[in-house]
Amino acid sequence: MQSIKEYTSCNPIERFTDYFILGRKIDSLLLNKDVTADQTLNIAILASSTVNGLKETLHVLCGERDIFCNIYVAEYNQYAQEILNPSSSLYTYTSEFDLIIVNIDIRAISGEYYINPYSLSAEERNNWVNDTTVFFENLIDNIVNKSTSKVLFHNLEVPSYSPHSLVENKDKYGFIESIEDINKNLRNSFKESNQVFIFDYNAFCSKHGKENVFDYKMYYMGDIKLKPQALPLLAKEYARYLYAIASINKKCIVLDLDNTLWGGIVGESGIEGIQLGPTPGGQPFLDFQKHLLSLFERGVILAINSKNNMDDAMAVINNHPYMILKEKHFAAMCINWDDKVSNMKKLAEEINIGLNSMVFFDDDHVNRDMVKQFIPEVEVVDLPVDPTLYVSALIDLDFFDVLSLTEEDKNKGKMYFSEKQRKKIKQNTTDLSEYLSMLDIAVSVEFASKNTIPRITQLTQKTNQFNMTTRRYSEEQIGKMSDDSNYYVIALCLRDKFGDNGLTGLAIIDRSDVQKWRIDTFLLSCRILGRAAEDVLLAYVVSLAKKEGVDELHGEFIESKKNIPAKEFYKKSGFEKNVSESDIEVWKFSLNKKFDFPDFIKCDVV
Amino acid sequence: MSDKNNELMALLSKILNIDVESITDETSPDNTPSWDSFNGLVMVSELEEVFSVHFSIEEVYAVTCVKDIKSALIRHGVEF
Repeated sequence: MQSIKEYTSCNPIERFTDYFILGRKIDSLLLNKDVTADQTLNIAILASSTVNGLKETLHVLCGERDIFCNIYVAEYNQYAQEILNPSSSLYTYTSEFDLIIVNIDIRAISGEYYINPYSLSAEERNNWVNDTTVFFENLIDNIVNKSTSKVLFHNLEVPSYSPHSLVENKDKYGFIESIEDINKNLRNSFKESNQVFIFDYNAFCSKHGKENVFDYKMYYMGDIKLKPQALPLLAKEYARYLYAIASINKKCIVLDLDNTLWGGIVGESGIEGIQLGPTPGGQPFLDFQKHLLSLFERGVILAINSKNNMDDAMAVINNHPYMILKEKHFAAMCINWDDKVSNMKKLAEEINIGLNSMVFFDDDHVNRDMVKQFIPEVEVVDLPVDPTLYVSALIDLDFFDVLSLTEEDKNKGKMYFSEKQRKKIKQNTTDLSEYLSMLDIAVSVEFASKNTIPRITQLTQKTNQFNMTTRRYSEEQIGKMSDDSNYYVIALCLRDKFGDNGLTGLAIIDRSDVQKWRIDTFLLSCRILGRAAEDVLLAYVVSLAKKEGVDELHGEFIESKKNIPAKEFYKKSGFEKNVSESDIEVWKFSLNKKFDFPDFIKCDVV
Repeated sequence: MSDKNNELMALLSKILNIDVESITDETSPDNTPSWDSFNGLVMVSELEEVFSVHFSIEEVYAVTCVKDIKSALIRHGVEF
C-alpha cells in the first residue's frame, strides 16, 4: 500500500487551492485506510472566525512528512464554550489531542474597542487589558487542568491603525500599547510552561504583511480574518509544532564547500580567489556561515561532503581570514573525489546518526538529485541558484524545531568553542593578568534564592578540585542555610567575552559567632578555574565581614584526593594557619588586613 | 476559446475540483455540490487576484452560475 508521503509527493502543489483539493482526498483515503502513515496526530482547532481550508492544508503538510492528522474543528466562534464545558468534544474526543490550537482574533475579542478605543479612558483601557489577559489565562488554565494536550494559543495581531494616528504613542496609555501589553502578558505568563505555547500571530501577520493577509470583503461576507491565499502560510506555522511533537526533527546539516560555504572553486582559483568576506560577492557566504554557526551553537551538528582536494579545502578552513566555520565545528568531514552518496553514508556512520536525521546543502543540482534518488531519507534542500538567497533558504527550514531547548543543547557547542578560543588567547599572551584582562571577565555575586538553590546544591555535590572542604549538601540543607540568619550562602556567576558560564562559584559562611566567621564551604567549578574568580569571591566575603564589624575570618581546608588545586589558596591570600583540629586545617584572616577585588574584573553585587 | 476563458475554466476547475470539460455556462451551486459558500468566497478572492479586478458585494451576490461570472468579468473589462 502507498504511504501518505508518497501519495502527497505525487500531487504537486501549485496554488493554494491545490491544498484544499488534495487535503480532502487525503481525508477520504485515510478514512478508507487506503494509504499508510508513519504517525498519527490528533489536533483540535478552535477559532473565533471562519478557518475553512486549514484542516485540508494541514492534511497535506503533515502528509508530506508521513504524518496523518485527525483534525477536529470546533464550530465557528465556539471556542469558549468548548474550553469551559468539561463534556465538550474537546475533552471527549476519541483520544486526547496532541495539540489544541486556539485562534482568537483581535476584532472578535475587542469589538467596539478595536474601532474606537479612545471612547474609554486610559484607566478603562488598562482595565480592559487586565480583564482580557485574565480571560485568556483562564481559558488556557481550563485546558491545562482538564487535559494533558499541548496548547498553541494565538497572541493578538497588533493593529497598524489608530484613530490617534501620528500621536498614538503620545497617549498616557495608548491603544496599540494596550494590545502589545496583552501579548506581553501572555508571553510572560506561559514562559515556564512546557505545555502551553503562545503562537506569535502578530509576528506572522507582520512577516506576510498585515494588509496582505486581511481582505475586507472576505471579512464582511464570511467573517474570514485571514484571506484564503494566506491560509497555507498559517498552516505551515502550525505544522512546525506538529513536526516537533512528532519528533521528526533533523540533527545534522551536511554541507558542500565550493559555491556553498564560499563562492568559487578553491581547486581552480586558490584560497585568494574564492569569494568569502565583506564584499558584495563574499558577504552572502559569510552570513550563511554565521547562520550555520548559530545553529551549531544550539546543538545542530555540522558535517562536510565535498568533492575537493583535502589540502585545498583545509587551507581555506584553517587559514582563510573570513572562514567562520572551522575544523572544530564539523563533527565529520568527507573531502575526497568519491561520489556524494557513499560519502553521505560514511558521514552518517561516523557521526553515528541515521540518514533520516541529515539535511544536505549543495549548490550542484546533479549532486542533489543523486542524493535524493539514492538516499530518499536524506532531506535535500533546493538551494537557490543565487547565493544572496542562501540565508533565507536556511532560516526558512523547519527541520530543526523543538519544543524545548535544554541548557545543555544551547551550550554544548558554545562551551567547546569558547574553551578553544580561550586557549588560543593564552598561547598568544605571556602575562597572566594581561590575558585575564583581555577576557573581559565580569562576575556577579548574589545570595542564594529559590531559583539558584538547585544549582548551588549541584555544585556542592559535584565540585572536587577547587573545593576547600568538599562538604556535600542536599537541596533541603542549602535551603535551610539560606533561610537561616546564621548563614550566608553566596553564589558567584562569571561570564567573559566568549560566553556565560553561569553560576559557578559558592561560599557558605557560618556567622553564628559574630566576631569570627567560619567559611564552611568555598568552591569554584573547574569550568572557571584560573580566572581569579576565587579572589573576587573572597574579596566579597571580606568586604561583607568588614561591613558587619567582624574581627576574623576562619577558613577551613579539608584535604581530599582531588582538591590539591585549592590547598594553597588561603595561604596565598594572606591567611595564617591556626592549630589543626583533626583533619580540618583552620586558616585565620584578621580583618584589619586588606584584601582587594582584582582590578581587571568587573564585579556586580546583586 | 480565448486564453482568458481557459484561465477562468482552469481556475474554476481547481476550486470546485471538477473537470474543465464538465464546466458550462449553466454550472451553478445548485448542480455542483462542491460550490459551497466557502468555495464561493475562495472563487471571488481568486478571480479578483488572477484577473486584477474588484467586485462589489452586490455583484458577488448577483452571481448564480458561471455565465454570471463571465458577465461580471466582462463588465470589469476582461476580454473573452
